[in-house]
Amino acid sequence: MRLDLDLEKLLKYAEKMGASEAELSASVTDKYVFEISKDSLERALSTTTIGFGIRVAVGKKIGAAGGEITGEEGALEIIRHAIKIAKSTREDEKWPGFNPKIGKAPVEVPVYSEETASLTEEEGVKILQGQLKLVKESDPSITVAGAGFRVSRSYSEFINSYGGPLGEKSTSYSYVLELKKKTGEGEGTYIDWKMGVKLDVEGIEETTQRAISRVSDAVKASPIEGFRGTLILDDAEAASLLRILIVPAISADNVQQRRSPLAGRLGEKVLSEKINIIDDPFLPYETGSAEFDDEGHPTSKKNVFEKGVLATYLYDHYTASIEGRESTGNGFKSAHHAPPSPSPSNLVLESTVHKEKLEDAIGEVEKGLYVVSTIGSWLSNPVSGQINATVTLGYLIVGGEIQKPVKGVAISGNIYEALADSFQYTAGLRRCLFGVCSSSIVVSDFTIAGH
Amino acid sequence: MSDIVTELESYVEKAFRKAEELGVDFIDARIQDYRYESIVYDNDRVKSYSYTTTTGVGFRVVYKGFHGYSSTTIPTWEGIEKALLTAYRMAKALHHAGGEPSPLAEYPAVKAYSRSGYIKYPFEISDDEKIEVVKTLVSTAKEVEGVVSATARLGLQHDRRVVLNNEGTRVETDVVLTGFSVSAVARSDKGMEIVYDSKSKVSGWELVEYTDLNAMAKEIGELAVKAAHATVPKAGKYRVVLHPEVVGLLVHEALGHASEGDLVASDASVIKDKLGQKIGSDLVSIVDDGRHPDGYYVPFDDEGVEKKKTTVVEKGILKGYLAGRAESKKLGIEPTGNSRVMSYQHPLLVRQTNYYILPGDHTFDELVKEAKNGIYVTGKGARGGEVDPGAGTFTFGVGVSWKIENGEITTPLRGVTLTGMILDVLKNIEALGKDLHVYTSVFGGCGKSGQLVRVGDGGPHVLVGEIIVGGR
Repeated sequence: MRLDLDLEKLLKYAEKMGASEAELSASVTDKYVFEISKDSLERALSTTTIGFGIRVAVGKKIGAAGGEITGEEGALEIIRHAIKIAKSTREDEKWPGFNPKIGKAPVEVPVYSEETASLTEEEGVKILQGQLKLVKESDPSITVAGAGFRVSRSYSEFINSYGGPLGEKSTSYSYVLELKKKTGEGEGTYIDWKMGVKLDVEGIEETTQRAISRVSDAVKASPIEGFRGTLILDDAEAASLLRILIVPAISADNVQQRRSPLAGRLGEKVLSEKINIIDDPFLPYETGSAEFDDEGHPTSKKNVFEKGVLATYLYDHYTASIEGRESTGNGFKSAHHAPPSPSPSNLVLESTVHKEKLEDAIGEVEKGLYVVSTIGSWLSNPVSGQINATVTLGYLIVGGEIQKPVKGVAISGNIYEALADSFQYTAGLRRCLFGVCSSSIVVSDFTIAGH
Repeated sequence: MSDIVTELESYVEKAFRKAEELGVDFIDARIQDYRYESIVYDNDRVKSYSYTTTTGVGFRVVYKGFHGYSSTTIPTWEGIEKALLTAYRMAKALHHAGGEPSPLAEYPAVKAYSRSGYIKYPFEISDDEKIEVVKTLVSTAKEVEGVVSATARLGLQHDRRVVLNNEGTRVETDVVLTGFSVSAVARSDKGMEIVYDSKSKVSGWELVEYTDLNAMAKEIGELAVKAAHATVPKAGKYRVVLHPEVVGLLVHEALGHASEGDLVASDASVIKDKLGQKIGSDLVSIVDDGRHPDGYYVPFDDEGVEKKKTTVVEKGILKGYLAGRAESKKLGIEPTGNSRVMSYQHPLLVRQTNYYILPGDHTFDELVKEAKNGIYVTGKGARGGEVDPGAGTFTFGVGVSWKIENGEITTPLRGVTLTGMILDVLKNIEALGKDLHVYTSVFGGCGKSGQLVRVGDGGPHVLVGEIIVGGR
């Protein structure tokens, strides 16, 4: 893949147009997607896009612009727009300049897989068809309501007035599957997904198998009376709650702007001493892995919570300079034109007490709920730590055994209580989704709001 | 706007002829020229001021009933031809892979141009004036004692789209959307709470000029302080009066998605096979309306089909689904003008436009009195909702709410979430207010399959006899 843009030339143009400093990024991405709707391959898309973005400073005044472009002329127009904004906006007295420390981490991190990059459209469609076949052969009464398989490969480049260019090629794939089953007992749906850098066909098949088994349980699921008891959050659900509640709270920006419940608590024991939470950009073939962040700063591995004690916040260059320290290499952007904000690479929850088998964890529960699927967990409140989620599939556990599948109940509580005194241990395999990794977690004394 | 649209369009007719030579059943093109400007003011500084632009053309080729998509930003015949051939290749790949074809329903060719109205074009307002708006919102909110942090945003959008197809349709729509928001964080000995409010309208800068920014920011600051001191209700079942903002969330999430024809056709909707059946209380009538003045403006969808007011529920009876041309063929109904894309790059999906419950005959005071004991659930600070349209389950995070005791509103509550089954709630509606409010947003919209589109939703105040509230 080639990016037909000369970032060094564009940087000089920005400086010539009046920028005292500038930061540019660009990427070219090829992707294809196949989609199934109701047991039938129905749609396919293939496209190439070039994205470009710039932040410029005129003294201490900052402007940004970006978009999808056709080539150099589009980039020049975007640069002119960013400079126009910078010239007319207000000064930011705390502006420290763009990151001066440009480079890659001293660790080679694999974020590109030749296997993924070279997967043809014909091979891609066969993988998706294979999953449809697997479902139908396992249980013809299950409908694949929807499924999608996406493969993309990208090359991206970064430069600022103090260094670069830095380049990185990457790949990714994602697979999502929604199954529906209808029997005399009722109807059930279940959604699951799998993603990564390196194509894992076996993992995709495991995802399909898990979905087949769970949708059959979902048919039998029903609401139950509310109770207080043990909550086991499945790996994916645990990762999801961490992403929604802990990720914003450890951002130095939210801490400095007094929007984080963790402000002023460095060095304090916040979580159970059994918990370590690590920001790890060096995990091979994970989607959050990187050798440098979106400000060109080298990434680093660090403990955010060590034995429950809050060890550090995550910093980008701006928030670090406010505290007179160096960026932790966590300045990531949501889009080329967006300002960076302190965000994790891969955030990993580990517990010093861990059971290899999830079944062993279930066996220890007197009364509880094992939750494998929810909706609305993103509505949980990161400022207060309040958890909210509605269970679309869970399992009622009584006397160490699964009694029946459950849906339509809500789980309510506070993440800082759930991960402190109430936290018991982790169990089962670790799963990474959208840059957060966790095994299943076991929490005692939790409220299940039922019928 | 740039005339790149004209440049791209100049090749489209040639592309259609080429596609016909290749033997396609149908081809359409979506040309888009989109710009968005955003200013974020965070406590004491302009945190970001950014501008984004997206311009390009996307093709859908239907070959023997299979749909292939591709797109380009390159306004040359080479760029256009490559995108066309890629879309054709993808459609053929699907055909060879087998499966059920998805042909389109007939729809007459349409020639139309439709532009939303505005008085002052917001992109021509000086940067200084724009920054002053967000600064005012933040500084006023921060003046309230107890507020520790405040943020404000301004968003401006101009979206010009042209849809063409080889049956002779050419529909151009041009929509300008303006909006702003403010959020405040307050702290008390009970913890911290954040409250948020925003105002958006399909209009120009006049929206800002007609709004009392100081009053809006002060109200949010004061509400944040009240919320930080409020208690979290005990989880359980309650009688509730829902504010129109929450009603909007409820109908959009709880019924709107389930009525989307692609979900119905793919067996992923809880109201599949329920046409003509009673699914809600006699009081409930629900429409999807592309032209409500306070909602988002969708006079035509991205297939060039006119968006009329679609009645989904009438007096509790399910009357219709939302459908594009492919879904209407599958379901045997008329296309309703709901086939939409996030951008020229994306494939068509069935999406809502402005989805709302029609009003009833109660005053607000009457609703609260009839609730007797329960919760008045309001939307400021609401974080949205999510639904499993197949299972019929929904959940919402709502804003600061209020206890109703003996038919009167008393103390504030925070951390309120609503959860339940779609059809239960529709059946449990006991009374509707006389008022009707519809809301849209320049900052968000509805997400589905990775595509975000602008929508509107709303309704009157509504009394629901029983709903599950998640709390302590």
